Amino acid sequence: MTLLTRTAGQARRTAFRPPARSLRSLRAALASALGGSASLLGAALILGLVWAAAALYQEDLPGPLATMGTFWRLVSDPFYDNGPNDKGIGFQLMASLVRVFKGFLLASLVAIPLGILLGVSPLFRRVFDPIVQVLRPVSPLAWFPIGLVALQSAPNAAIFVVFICSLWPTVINTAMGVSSIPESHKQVARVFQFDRWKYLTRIVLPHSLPYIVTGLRLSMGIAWLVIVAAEMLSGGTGIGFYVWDSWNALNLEQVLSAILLIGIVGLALDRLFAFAASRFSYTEVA
Amino acid sequence: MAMPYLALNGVSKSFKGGYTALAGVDLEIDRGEFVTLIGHSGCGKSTLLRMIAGLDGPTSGSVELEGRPISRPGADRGMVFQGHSLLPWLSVYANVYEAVDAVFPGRRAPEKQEKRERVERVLRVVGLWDHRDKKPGELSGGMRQRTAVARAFAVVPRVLLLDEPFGAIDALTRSGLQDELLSLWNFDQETETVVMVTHDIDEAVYLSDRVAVMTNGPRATIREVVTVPIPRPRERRSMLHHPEYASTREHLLDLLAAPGRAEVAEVPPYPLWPTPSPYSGD
Repeated sequence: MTLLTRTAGQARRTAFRPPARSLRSLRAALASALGGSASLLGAALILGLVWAAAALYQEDLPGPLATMGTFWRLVSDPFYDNGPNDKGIGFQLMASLVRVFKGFLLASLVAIPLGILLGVSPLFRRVFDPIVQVLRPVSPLAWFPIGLVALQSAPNAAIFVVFICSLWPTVINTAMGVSSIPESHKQVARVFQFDRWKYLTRIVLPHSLPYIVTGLRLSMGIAWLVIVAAEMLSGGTGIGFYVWDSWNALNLEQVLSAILLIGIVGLALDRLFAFAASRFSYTEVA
Repeated sequence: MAMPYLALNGVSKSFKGGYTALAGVDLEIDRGEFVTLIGHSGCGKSTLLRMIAGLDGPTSGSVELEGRPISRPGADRGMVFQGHSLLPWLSVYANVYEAVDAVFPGRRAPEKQEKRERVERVLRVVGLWDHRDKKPGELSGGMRQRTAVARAFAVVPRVLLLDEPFGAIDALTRSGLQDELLSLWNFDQETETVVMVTHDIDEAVYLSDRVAVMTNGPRATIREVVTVPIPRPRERRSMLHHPEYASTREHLLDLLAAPGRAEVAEVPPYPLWPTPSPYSGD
């Protein structure tokens, strides 16, 4: 399948751009980059001011400057290991990311086929919909004891929590994509005698792919949200554990630095999926 | 009496809510004929075509191909839908190839080669071989519809069904597509019989051997089947001067303008009809 290839038209547009236009587009790119960094700077300024004001009001809360010092110390030496209670922030983030990916991957492997089944079969949908609707709003941490009992290991219980919580967006979006296949595509499949495999690979999957990627993107967001909470319970390693450990040590600069890092990594993960989504989109023509 | 090739026997269609779209439609179509169903919007002509395709079943009566009732779609019938219904994520080539591959599932190398040759031949006839790698979104309306026609021919159907195939195409492009349709029909010896639905009288006269004029719904049926007495091959320009052309056209207009069962149909005077479609083509 040629889903991933760029269209010939796009390739041509970039290849044969006349110099005048390329200069103008360079200027436009520069301007937009400047504008982008200007707005980023503005946002940082507003955040910093609000933060500084809050720190003045509540003296226990470290201000932005004090936190920046700690932040810099943390990220400038991310990978050191001084025993189980003193690891670099890089190792903590890595541990969390590995758990997130394990749980997320397992969830995707279950959620995509389940979503397809739900989308294809109205009967299946009627049976499974109440189950999904009841389990979906359950708080991540409520699953933790179940994970502990089932897997007999705290780190694995954290993975289990990620797995359970990142199932739903993918299941629901996949089902929505599959059930929204236009009647005209189904008729094509019927008139031209598509077998099940061809129907799945040439119609169901390509049509649903943008929906699935959106579901995965939402699931990844939830997985990253959930891992911090789960690791506070599981302990040992991970950025969630690090936040809790820093709190117990009353080191709020570290807590705030970790919050910043969690946000930055989460943003990066989201951008990754947004990029993937843009590659899987297609133009639906009437 | 010889068995008709394709027969609609007392076909009726009622929908949920009690609306009866078709009531007792009888039509016999011979092998090798080009028959057009013409009527006003909502008269159920597309529903009739869908029944021949096997996408829809009659409430009562039967649709039979060579004496066997049609109950579902089959490889012996190909279809061009109203609105091309190409798969937007596949290239022109893949849209045609996937249909051919589905109808002829052979997996061996020579079989695949044959399928590829078939697709290439059909795409060359409709002039899309140079555009084979484009997606439907990059094509003009005319080219999309041409791809849909190529796809229908490529599966070598014995009966070709056309549901307002050029309805959304501008008048100039439409006449070119009609000629391509005829050349494909002549080029393809296996595809003998064509049933088309349209509301364009000129298109019907130019393409068909017989034109079945339908009454307005509800409870639509066939008012009259008009034979087009102009010999083939037809040439668009000289056909206009054929003595039978004007009278056939006039007769069809009268039939369409005659009051239906439900209401008086309005047909604009000759120069305004058929109007060019507002959609853009090539």
